[in-house]
Amino acid sequence: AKVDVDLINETIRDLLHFKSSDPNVTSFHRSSHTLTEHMKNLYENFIDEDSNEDGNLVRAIEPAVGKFEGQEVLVFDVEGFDSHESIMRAELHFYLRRRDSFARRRSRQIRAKSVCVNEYCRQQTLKKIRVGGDENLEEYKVIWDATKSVFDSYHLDAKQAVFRITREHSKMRPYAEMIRKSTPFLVIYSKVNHTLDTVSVMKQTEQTKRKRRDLGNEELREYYNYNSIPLDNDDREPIKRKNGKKNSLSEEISSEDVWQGFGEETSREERERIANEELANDVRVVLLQNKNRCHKEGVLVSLKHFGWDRYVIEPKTIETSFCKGKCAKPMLTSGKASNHAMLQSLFAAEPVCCAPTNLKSLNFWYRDEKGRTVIRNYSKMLIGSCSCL
Amino acid sequence: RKNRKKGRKHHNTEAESNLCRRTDFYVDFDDLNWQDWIMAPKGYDAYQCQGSCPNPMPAQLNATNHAIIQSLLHSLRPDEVPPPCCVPTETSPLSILYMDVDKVIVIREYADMRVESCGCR
Repeated sequence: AKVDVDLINETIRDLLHFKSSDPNVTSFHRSSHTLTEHMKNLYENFIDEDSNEDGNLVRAIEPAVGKFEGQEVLVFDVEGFDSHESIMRAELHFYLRRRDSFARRRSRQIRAKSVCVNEYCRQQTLKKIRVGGDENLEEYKVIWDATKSVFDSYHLDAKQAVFRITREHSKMRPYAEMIRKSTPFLVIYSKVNHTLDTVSVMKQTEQTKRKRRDLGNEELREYYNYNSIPLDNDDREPIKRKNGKKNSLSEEISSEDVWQGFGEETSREERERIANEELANDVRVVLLQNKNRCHKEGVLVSLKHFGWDRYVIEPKTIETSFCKGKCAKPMLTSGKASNHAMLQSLFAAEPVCCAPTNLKSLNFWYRDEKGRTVIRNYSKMLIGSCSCL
Repeated sequence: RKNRKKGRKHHNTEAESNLCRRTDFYVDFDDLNWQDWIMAPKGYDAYQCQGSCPNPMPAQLNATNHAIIQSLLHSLRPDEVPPPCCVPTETSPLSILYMDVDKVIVIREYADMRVESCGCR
């Protein structure tokens, strides 16, 4: 199967929320080890659970040093959030070196405050939500609840969230040194109803094609052919049921198909054997059936091919697949169709559709245009299997 | 004098009425010649999914992220990529009283017999 290269590229750009078609990160810097570890664990959690209770969008932001009223402050870039985004939670992370008997006392002495740089907001002392050793890292960490501060910044349309970290009874070392040694970062969990902006994607795609034609590069390949293989998968999971009984007997019954007990003399195994034998007698029919019957087909797209590997940490490839093929009328075997689909194929004029039966999330872990580390979850984006529905 | 009817009836455009939706579909077991086996019910409202999934897809079609992308791919390569399909997104079971091959009367619940809602997939 072929898919349009420009369309795929613009789709990825839209999913990652990059504004420019070919972004340039002027200064590439490696994120701190602590931030990377934190996001890696979160990403694996997103993969395992196929979503996250705290939202479908997580940003980890490293600070710059600023000055406010003559004192040093930590400045976090919170510009460019989605207009329909809901801030669920925000945490300010801070690490103490040398896990020893003094770490606990030092952690108690450390304080964090949000600094008010907008005339409408108020300075807030942050509340500690966790103090202790990190199981993955041999370091002591302090986490403050910064939800209200970030929430205020977002709703006041501020471009920055500003914090000051101090120590009781002692002077805090210079902030540049603090950033280097204690690697503070801000984690913001959001919920956003983000779907693909198809109008924008189509517009950008056509614009890219026009530009290429104007440059006289019509010979450049416009279609992606990499690893084009049929991805047929016979596994089937039932579509969502409503008002179904929840007991073992009901579950056992629900695995039956509609033919069972409807007066059929032959068993399911016998019917399938007969059907397979009839098909095997005609090789041409077998090939035609396999190609035309309901199946999954698709393309494995490498992000490196488009240059996105500079920004996207995970995944390396994306499966672009779809359901293709026909559903027999009437359906001879019931293995890949629901009871309703079988009845519809027998009786109704409307044909039965070959469609996805289970869908999985696509999770991106990447660095955005402002150098922030982001995890984005898109639900129901990848096909597990196809069936007649 | 007869009062004129208030308000004009909302008239769907032809395109709107052909969008993906749930429509009537009654299964009559007599028509299937299953009445000898099935004692109850005589038939039931199974419903079906009908209509198109155009690009771009209106929000009411309850399309998944995947269906939205497939719709884009189809618009550029209609021969290669099929459009998203209007299919059941939620179903419900049906209990049937029937006589099995041993002439025993059985009540059994069958999954996915009735369509509750439709969407573009």
